[in-house]
Amino acid sequence: MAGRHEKRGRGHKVETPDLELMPMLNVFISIIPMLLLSAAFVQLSVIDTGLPAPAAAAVADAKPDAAPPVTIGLHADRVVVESGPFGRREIPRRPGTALKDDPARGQVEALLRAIAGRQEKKPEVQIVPEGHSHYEEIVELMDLARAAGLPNAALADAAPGAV
Amino acid sequence: MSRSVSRRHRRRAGLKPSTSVNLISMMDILTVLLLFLLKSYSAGGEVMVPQPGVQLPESTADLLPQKSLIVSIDGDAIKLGSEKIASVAEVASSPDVDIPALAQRLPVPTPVPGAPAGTLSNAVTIQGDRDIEYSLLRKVMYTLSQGGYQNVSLAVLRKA
Repeated sequence: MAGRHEKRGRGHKVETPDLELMPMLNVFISIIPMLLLSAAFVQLSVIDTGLPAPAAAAVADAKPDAAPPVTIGLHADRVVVESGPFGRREIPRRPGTALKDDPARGQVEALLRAIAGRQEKKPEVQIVPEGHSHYEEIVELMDLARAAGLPNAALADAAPGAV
Repeated sequence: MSRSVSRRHRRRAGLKPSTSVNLISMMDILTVLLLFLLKSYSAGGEVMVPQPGVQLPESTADLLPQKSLIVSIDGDAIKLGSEKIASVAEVASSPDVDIPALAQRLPVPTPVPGAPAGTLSNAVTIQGDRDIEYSLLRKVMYTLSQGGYQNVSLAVLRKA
């Protein structure tokens, strides 16, 4: 550390400490570009999902003491929610509108909340999309199920003529 | 030698005084930047970046990605890591339920070192563009399952 002498008052010398910042600066200049290059500024997360199995198989394979699974059929013009004790309900969609902007989204969420709230054991959710369904809408449905308190959502294939 | 002395010498010699750069403010900026970068590393989990050209869907899921094989699907191509495997248009128009080009290039799952016997590295993360169709995603998932990759995760952008 070097010092700087300054005269103040009547002949009093005050030594102002002078920090050697160059070595620290050199370290910073080496580390920061390295961290910047390898940093991930976009936060990614993942959704664990099983491979699509027929929805009917999931119902048959369900444990006897487990709640019957909830099946959500995603179509271009409607969303069909089917749950054992609650029956089947069709919610019409606004054609050409993404699910996140569709009024049907709120209705699906309310229905899933009602299903989750009335059952002690949380049922598994089987999402059965059409072939043309957008991936974003499938993820949106998984989010809705999670928000309603049904965290186990998986993709499933429809049996011919079902959902 | 003190600076005041050297300055006096310079003044006598008719030289301009040297300007000393104030580094303190620069050090402040660099310190804040360094702390920010170090904090972003302390989140844990595997550092995963979206593949170029892939617009991931947003989700409230908060599960951190783990080390796995990465298959990405954008509007044009299906990629294994960064290698293009197949064209989306060809796969979408094909009547096959799987993708033969992807099946050929999939590495065979290997035992995980240090894990119980029989545990295979069969985890795969799919980075799919938000606008791809489910029929395409299904073909990719079916091909992966046929290749021994049963542990499938879908990568999403975390909603704030």
